[in-house]
Formats: sequence, structure tokens, C-alpha cells
Amino acid sequence: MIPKKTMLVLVLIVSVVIVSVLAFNYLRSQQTSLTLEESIAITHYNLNRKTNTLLGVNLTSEAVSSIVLTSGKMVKVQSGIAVASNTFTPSLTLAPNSTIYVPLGYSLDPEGADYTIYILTSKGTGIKGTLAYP
Amino acid sequence: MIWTALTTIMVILGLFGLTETVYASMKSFGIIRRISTAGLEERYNLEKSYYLLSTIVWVILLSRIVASGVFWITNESLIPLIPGAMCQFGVNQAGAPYSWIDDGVKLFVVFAYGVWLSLDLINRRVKGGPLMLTLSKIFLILAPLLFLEAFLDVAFYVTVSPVVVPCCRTVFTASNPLPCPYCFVFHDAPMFLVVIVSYGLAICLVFWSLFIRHYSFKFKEIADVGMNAIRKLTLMALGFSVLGTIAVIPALFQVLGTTGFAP
Repeated sequence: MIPKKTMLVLVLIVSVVIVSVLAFNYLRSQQTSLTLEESIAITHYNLNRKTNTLLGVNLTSEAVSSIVLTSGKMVKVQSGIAVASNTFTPSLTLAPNSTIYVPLGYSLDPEGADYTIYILTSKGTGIKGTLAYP
Repeated sequence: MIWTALTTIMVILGLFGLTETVYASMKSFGIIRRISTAGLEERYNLEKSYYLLSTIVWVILLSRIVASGVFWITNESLIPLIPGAMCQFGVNQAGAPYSWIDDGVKLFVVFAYGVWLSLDLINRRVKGGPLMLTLSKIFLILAPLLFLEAFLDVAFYVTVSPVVVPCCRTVFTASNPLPCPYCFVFHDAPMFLVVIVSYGLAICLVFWSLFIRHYSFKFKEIADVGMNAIRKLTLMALGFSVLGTIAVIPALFQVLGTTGFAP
């Protein structure tokens, strides 16, 4: 028979492993369940390769109505973790059939990585783009 | 070979481990062979011989445990020196196949070596050293693992060179549901290192206590010291698992904290 304390240790470990896996799955499901704006795309990435920074992106809209941009996030594909984010204060408005520059200022891994950039809107939707760095 | 202070230390520790393992294995084999037919005087000499062996094995095992920790630090330090490497995945690509096998072996060496070390600690506290033969046998079982681990370290760090390697982005793409473990733990969620190490040690301590329990039933002479050791080990295991549980909170925040997708 396994002693009580030993059992407690094993139960603690198993439960934390389960919680961690659930948390990671929740994170992934949040990313995949985000509704994307079909008519808006990231058309340009403004990079500073000396400082390994994503300074900002250009968003081009082909939509018929304007949209309010509230925040940005950068998820590292290899780890699945959002490594940088910012909120736009004041929020930015993208007019129909126009292009807007969105400042981000995200630090990139100097050794290189793949990133997914999300620009979130006030409607709860997002604009997604991918960046392979360097 | 990429010469850095850390790779040099790893090669030296590997060579030391190889030579000392050969010496200790021969000594251990000698004790096992002679102990069953030994008279009183020879048994006393064998006991003295065993204490020398025990000291050597302590030095070998502790040096291997240190090398197991330095291994990950060394690999992390090699990333900027290998073109194309973004994380330890790339370093392992440059040192394949030794690096991959070494990675796997390193994950459970502390557990295996700890069995011998904890039993020897008990043996030293009991008069007459009742576990002398058992420990010599266990060491002979551990010797191939020790030899393999030290050999893999030497082979890996001698053959690794600054060649252009494909890194984890070729395997862990957006469509892959699993994250790259090296990017995840060593770069983007380092608090998980504390969780993994704490839980790893807790599991090790639990298993060592189970081994001591097994031998305490087998050798009545060590029962008292053994039970005392079990109490201490399980308490330490509990401490490490609590530490791991506390560390998992900031670790989860590292993963989930900035990732809300609400508007």
C-alpha cells in the first residue's frame, strides 16, 4: 500500500498536469474560435531588423463599413503563446476601402521564429496575419 | 567541436565519468565475486574496499548529476553559434544522433542515480554495512547507463559543429497542435522550468522512498534508519510538489495572461 503523503504528492502532480493541459487547450481554442474579418488584410509588416522589432503593420480594408481596432497580439507559432500585446488608446478607426498604419512595437526573437499577428476589433472579430522572421 | 567554456566542461566531465565508471565497475565486480566466500578478515577488507568504492561512486554520480544540469545550460548557450538554430531543437539537429539520445537519457538519470545514493546513505548509518552486496550489484546495473550517458556527452560535444540546421519551425507549424517543448519551456514560459524541476524531484523522492521501503522489508537491520529516511524523503517530496503547485500559478499566467481574445 502507498503511504498517504506519497499519494498526496502523486495526486498533486497529476491534477496540476491536467490543469496545465486544459489551460493550454483553452488558449488554443480561443485562438481558433476567433471570427476573422474576411475583407480586411495585413498588407505590410514594418520591421526594424537591427533591433528585432515589429514596428507596425498596414491594414487594408475592402469592407463597406468602417471598423474600430482595439488591440493587437502576437502569438509565437512554435510555442503557441502570445508573446506580446498592446491596446490602442485611443482606438483606431479603419474607413471602408482604405489603408491604415497600426503601430505595434513588438520584440521579435533574434534567432528567428514564426508569428501570427492578431488585430482585434470592437465587434469581437479579428484580422490575422502571419510573419516568418527573420 | 564548438569550443566554449561550457562544452569543454561537459567533455571533461564526460571523460572523467567514463574512466571512473570503468574503475568502479571493476572494483564493484571484485566485491561481488569475493564476498560470498569471504572469511571474517577478508570481509573486513572488503568492507574497507567497499567504502572506497562508495566514495568513488558518490563522486561519479554527483558529477553526472551536475553534468545533467549543465547539459541544458550548455545547449542553450550553443543556439547563437549554430546557424539556423532558434532553440535547443536546432542544437540537437547539429549534434544528431547523439544529442537526441542524450536528451532522452538525461531525463531520468537523476532518478536512477538517486536510488543508489539514497540506499548508500542508509547503509553508511547502519553498523556492518548490510547493503554492501546489494549496492555493489545495483552499481553494476547502473554502470551501463553511466557509461552510455558519459559517452553520449563526449560524442555529442565533440561532433557538434556550426553547420546550417533546420530548426523547430519545420516541425512545429501552425497546423501542429503541439508546441515545441524547447521554445515553450526555455524561452516563452520559463516558469514551467520551476514546475517541471520541482515535480521531477518530487517524483524522484517518492520513488527513492519506495525503494528504501522495499529494502527495509528485505533487510531488518536497516528498518529503523530506513523508516526515518522514508519520512524525510516523503516530506521533501511533499515540499517540492507544493513548490511546483505554487510555481504553476505564475506559469499559467505566463501562458494565459496576455492572451485574452475579447475585444
